[in-house]
Amino acid sequence: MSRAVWVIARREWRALISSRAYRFGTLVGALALLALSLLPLFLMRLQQDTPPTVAVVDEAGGVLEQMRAVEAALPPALRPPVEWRPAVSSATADEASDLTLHIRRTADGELEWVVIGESVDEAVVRALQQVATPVAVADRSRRLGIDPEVAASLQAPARVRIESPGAADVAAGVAATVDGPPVGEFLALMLMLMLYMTLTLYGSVVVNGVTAEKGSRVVEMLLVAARPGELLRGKLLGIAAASLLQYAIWGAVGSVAFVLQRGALGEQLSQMLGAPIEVQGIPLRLVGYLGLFFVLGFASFGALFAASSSLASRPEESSQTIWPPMVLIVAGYMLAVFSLPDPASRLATVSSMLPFVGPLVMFVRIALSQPPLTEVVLSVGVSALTAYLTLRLAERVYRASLLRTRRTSWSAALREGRGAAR
Amino acid sequence: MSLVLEGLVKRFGAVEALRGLSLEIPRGAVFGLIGPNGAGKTTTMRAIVRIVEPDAGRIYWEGQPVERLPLSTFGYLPEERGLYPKMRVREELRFFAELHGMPRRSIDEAVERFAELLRMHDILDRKVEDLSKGNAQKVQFAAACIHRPPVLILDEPFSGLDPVNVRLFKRAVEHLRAGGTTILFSSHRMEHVEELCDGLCLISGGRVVIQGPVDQVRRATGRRVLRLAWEQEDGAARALLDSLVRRGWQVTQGANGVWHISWMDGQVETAAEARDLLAAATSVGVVRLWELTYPSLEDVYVEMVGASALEEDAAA
Repeated sequence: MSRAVWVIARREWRALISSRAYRFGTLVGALALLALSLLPLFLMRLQQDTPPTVAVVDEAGGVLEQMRAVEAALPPALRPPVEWRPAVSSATADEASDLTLHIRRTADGELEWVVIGESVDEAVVRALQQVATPVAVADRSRRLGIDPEVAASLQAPARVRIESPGAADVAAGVAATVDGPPVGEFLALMLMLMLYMTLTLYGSVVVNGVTAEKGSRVVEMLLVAARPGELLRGKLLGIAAASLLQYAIWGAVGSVAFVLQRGALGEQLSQMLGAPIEVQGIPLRLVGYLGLFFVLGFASFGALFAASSSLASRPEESSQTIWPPMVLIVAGYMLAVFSLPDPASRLATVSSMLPFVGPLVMFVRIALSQPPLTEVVLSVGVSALTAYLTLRLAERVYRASLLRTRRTSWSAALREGRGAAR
Repeated sequence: MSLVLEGLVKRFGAVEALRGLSLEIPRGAVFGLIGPNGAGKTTTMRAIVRIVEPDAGRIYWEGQPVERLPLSTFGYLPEERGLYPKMRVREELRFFAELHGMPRRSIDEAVERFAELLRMHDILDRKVEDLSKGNAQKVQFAAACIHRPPVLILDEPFSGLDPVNVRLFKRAVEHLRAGGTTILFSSHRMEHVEELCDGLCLISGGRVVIQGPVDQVRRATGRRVLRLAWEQEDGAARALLDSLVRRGWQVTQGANGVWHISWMDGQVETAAEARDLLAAATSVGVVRLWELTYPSLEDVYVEMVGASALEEDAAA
């Protein structure tokens, strides 16, 4: 890469990272990330603030302890949000509790759970079913002379195994990058949204930069010292570097939030909640893919944004000339959203291989599933080729339209760009 | 060796901006490019610095086609001024110096040198957007030539400048010329061209009308001019002027009572006629100005380009 490209890239980088908008955006993004990371914990805390309390009158004896044992064996996320406490008196309703539960044995020997209250929430009934059913089954087994352990094994969940078509490759060690646990749909959507928003945001930075340079006529000074292609590549490189720095800052903030939640803060929150908390991290490989697809996407969209905005004669006119990249980027976003429910669908698979929209869709597929390595490689290859060809095309348009003082069309710019200087 | 333009042709759609323009500028010269609006001056300059590709014709510097030369061979100050408004002057100059390929270690020294030359020390740390038009123009001038290119192209460098800054710019041009830079500049102000240039080229309609050393161009009309003024004019002086008109000489009145009397070379025996005229002039009053010269560049320009161009310029 020529020296001029680096000089221009450095200027773009400095201009961008010293701008108020960039600093403000980075700060707001970091705060939003922190808030998003901690929000689930606080929501849990809010939910845990007022769990319904049920006063238990255990007339059968020892059943409440068995219910608590069943509850403790459940994963934290599946534990019912109900607090069971022994009733102060067996004769009257406990006024400090929301409901009263009587556990008694009926004439045929069955255990019976009777909930008494003015209005009984369905969630409490579900929670009761959840912890009472194993107790009732164990009790029936004992009465029938069946070993409780045998009875428990009969109730063990069915074995479900997941096999992926790419598993063979993974086993062969070829696809070390496509294994690993996928993230949840919400997190995948958030990350894809981040990719989409940064591509759009930095695309608009390119548009503003090009129209400002054209408008201020500094471009004429630049063109004497650098070729149009160097101007374009330097601009994209500088802006991409600034955006990757922003990603890195956000990533660092996210990592700190993650570590805090896993560490001392997590313990404190667990104690506060009275239950362990589960934090969902983003696999490192996914962070790598986010960076890769941003770079590939930005190289294509950035070049397209630069070329289309150079067709405008004034900054106000650029909104009319940048529709091609806007349409493509919105199409990519829509296809990525449609791919969220079923990332292995034919729509998702095909669109992840298409130019321009591929990075967004393939990122969603990688975040939510384990697409075959061949498809990932193909998608990356298509995106890289798209970026290269778009850059070449953009250079030609850029060359022809930078010095134009009147709005021009794509066809005219492409025609003239072929024979323009340098 | 020199800067040579050979048969340049450039069309913009239906408009033919350059029609076989050829020109030779000696190395180390300050050369003026004059002509009416739309004559092709800016297109010629852009073609030299290769931001416009001619449809036909070649440009050579020191015998080498310009497309084979490094971009840093040229410095260019465009007619339309433009810099990065948010950058500070020092950063802006460093940026352009580096972009033109200057080694980093010598950039700060060059910035200081140009700050001294153009008296910019007090604005070096200010943002460009906060500068006056004249100061912004100084910065752009410095940005165009901070890398000391062998060839410097200046498109209307004096437009919009106050007399102090015009003098500063002229000093800078002289300084660069003394350093061996070949300078081509365009201007509508003929006095600047006459004062600074070793040679000039008048173009119109994309073609060269005349080119050569300034004196040669002034003589090209074949006309001699006598500038005459009396301390006090009376009827005898008017009678003398009327007699000159009757003899076929052109007599026009300029500012401050100065009469411009012109005739074609060969129309009269200049030396003898001038002696006779001086005697006649002194006999009718006290002569305060007597100058036998050639037409000014402005007169040459008007005569060669025509009244229509004069009207275009006035409208612009």
